[in-house]
Amino acid sequence: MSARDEILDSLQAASSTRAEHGHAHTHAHTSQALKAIAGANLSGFSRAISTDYNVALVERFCERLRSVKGEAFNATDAAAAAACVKDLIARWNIRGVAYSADPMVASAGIPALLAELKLPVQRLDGGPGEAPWREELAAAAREKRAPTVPWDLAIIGCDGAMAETGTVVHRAGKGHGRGGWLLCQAQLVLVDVSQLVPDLEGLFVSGGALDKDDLPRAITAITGPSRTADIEQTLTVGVHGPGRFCAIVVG
Amino acid sequence: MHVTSDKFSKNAADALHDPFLQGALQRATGKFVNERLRAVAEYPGFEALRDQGRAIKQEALDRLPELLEQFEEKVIERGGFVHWARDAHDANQIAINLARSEGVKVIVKSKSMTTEETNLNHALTEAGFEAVETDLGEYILQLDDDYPSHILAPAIHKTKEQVADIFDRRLHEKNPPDAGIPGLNTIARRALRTKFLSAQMGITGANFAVAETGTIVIVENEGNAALSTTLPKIHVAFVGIEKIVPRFNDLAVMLKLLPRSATGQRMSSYTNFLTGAARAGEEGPQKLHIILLDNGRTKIYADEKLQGSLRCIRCGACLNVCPVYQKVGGHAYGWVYPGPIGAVISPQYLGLERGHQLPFASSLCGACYEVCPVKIEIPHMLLELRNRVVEENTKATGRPAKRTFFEALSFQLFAVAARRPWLWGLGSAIGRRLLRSKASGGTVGKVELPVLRKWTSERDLAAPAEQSFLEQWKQRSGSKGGRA
Repeated sequence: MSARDEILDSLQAASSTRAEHGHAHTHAHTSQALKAIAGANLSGFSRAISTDYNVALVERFCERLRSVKGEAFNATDAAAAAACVKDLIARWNIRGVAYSADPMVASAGIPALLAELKLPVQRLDGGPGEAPWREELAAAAREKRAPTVPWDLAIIGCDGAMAETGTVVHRAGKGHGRGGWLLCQAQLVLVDVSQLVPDLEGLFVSGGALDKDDLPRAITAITGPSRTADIEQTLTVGVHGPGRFCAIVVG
Repeated sequence: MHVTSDKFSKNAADALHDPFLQGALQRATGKFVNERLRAVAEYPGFEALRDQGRAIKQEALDRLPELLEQFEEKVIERGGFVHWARDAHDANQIAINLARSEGVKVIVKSKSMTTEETNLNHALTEAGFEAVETDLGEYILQLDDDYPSHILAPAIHKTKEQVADIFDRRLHEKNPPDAGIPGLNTIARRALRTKFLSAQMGITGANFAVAETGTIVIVENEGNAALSTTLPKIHVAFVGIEKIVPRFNDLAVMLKLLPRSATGQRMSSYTNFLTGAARAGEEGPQKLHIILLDNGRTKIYADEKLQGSLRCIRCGACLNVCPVYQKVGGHAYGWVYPGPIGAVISPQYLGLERGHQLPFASSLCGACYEVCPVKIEIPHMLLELRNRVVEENTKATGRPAKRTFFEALSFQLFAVAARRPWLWGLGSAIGRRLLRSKASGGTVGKVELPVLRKWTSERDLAAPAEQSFLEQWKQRSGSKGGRA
């Protein structure tokens, strides 16, 4: 008998014994409880929202992201977002930028800004365009030297964001890799205000970033910088992923 | 790993005499407990969320055979492979065979309790592969040939000086003076970057496996699981069969419970939702292999009284609140899973013979149940296991567990007195006066009597009231003519 059949058979045998003894649970009952509670969670949040729904969402998002050592800004329009990015590049001493093909990146005028700043750039497509770049990173790491161009910052868009926790969601797919931003020292995410939902449930709706009927190979919910407290419970950032994280909510 | 669960008492005594460990445990568990409390307090309806989490995981157990088949079907539909492993050896062997057939040399691993359980690193090294732990804590332990002492913070028992020394010895990297912990971090980041970029295989565990969609979810803070499942061409996931949840949307509940219960975070830095293998032109592993592991789980499943322990999502909350774990730490439990949940599941995996001391490593205070995000009745299960240990002993020796002379005498005296109210009244009156004469500040110190001596040497015995219950009853109801 294969391991598969053996495992399934013994589980089956155990559950049927239990069913005979009348221990089977009534799932109609549990799923009813689930619905009631899911509703309660959402109404709890809406009560907390003051007058302007969007303002409250953006404020909550920024506050929550800052509480996990991320930076968060609200830019009223694309021009303001570009100015914010420019300021960040100066403040963080960025020497090279990798950016994705996300429409938010284009509409905020990031490629033009980088050209104006004369910074070396790398397009992140998760595919062949990244290959030479990754090879250089690997070689540099192997030889314990700095890469020929220090790509310090990854600028990407996102597919959804959650105010309750200060989280952005990235869906990988053709032209949208995640290895690129994972390898950079710093990460900047552009969020359109319309992408912001109050709570985790909001991401799971049809058409949302976590729509069960439309799952790409990898989805990453990102909340602040890479962190660890593995040595003496002391929080440090940037252990494997980006050590600096910033989100700009546009609109 | 070397199992020392049968030596819990000795392990615990050693831990109690290690001043650094005591400080580290106090710091770590205290921090986790406080952070959890803060996260729970700010979330309206967290108690309801626990009920929901329990319902989801219990439904998954009730429908487990059907859901596992559905999970398998969905993974295959998305281009992945599913393997079934009866035990640790089989699971490791599947991974080794895969690595061999693909010509793999370097393997990056992200933190997984399941691979600790199968002792995978050891098996991979024996088979000639370079398998590198990439979680910072696990990496430190691997370099030092040590093993985890906490589910979430595996290296809490190491000082930063010890870590610096390990890096110096094993990586030949000296931490610059004043670089401190961030400096150690940088050394590890650099060393592991070369491994990520050169590994052909990434091995991970999974926090949840979704039957409906074939998705596995990995929750992490460092980014090493994300890198391990993005850069190498092959991804192998070790998944215990109890990790199943029925529906994708169930994650909306489980992902609120897990980080808040574990570290008090609202969300962990990275939550990875991985569905199937990468398609042509897509970034990521083109081969995905999921190993579904039994290793004793079907046995627990068939055990009606203990099945609920399979709901565990490995958050570690019960470790942090446990007054025993807080003092003795993870290594004392002598196997992969420490703390209250470890005291329940280790004896089941290892057998009562080797795990018989663990169910007694609890004060039954119930704090573990109070914080459990899926409401596992840990105290009840510990009692059940204690009963079984006693029964096993009875069976083995052919007679009931042996009582000490004084214990047997006390029970006999009790039997005599309890049947004679006048003697009971007299005895308790004498006892009460005796204890009150020794009491100060409301408590009685050490009582120099057999049985009581041991008990009172570490506990405060409350001083008895001036009047017995019966005396008070007579006094209060006497005027109304009530019957005592």
